Amino acid sequence: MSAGSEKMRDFATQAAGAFQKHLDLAKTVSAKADKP
Amino acid sequence: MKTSPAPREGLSVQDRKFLAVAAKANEDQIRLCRFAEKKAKSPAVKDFARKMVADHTAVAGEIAGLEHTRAHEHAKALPHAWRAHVHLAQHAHPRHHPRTAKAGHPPGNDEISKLRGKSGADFDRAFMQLQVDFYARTVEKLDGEAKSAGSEK
Repeated sequence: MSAGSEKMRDFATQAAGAFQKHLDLAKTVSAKADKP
Repeated sequence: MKTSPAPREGLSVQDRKFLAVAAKANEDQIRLCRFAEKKAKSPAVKDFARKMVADHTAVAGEIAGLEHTRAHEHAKALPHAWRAHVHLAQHAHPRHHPRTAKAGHPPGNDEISKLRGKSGADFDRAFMQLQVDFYARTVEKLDGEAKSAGSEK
């Protein structure tokens, strides 16, 4: 995957920020799901 | 995929590839989370899957907007006759658009196949591990794109 234009890279930056929050939430939910 | 993507004038080859990869990953994530929303046992996992479906549906709209806006920006700079051509190319055959075409897509993706045999807490754990891996991988790739700004012209 490679974003060529500045506009695409702006989109990639914003998406990275949003998906970092998803990652943090996934880790939290995953930790709960791991408990019996 | 059996169908050909509709032309998206105004986008560089690099941008088109980027959007195609992003759209495919986003679609797979929506499909997987819809599946998990139905099959998960834990309310927390169901809620997570529901939120991801909503968020990634919004992302799909942003990707479509990027394609549409850039194509129309380009079309404004074209002679009138060509504007009509660009418009027709974008809108005449929506069923051939890669993200609206159904025929080329299998009913599930690799992740769904891996999860089909699991149930209950076992399913929840496996799904959430896939999600942690997916977002870790995706954030890493997107950070790489952001840091490469200005290095590729």
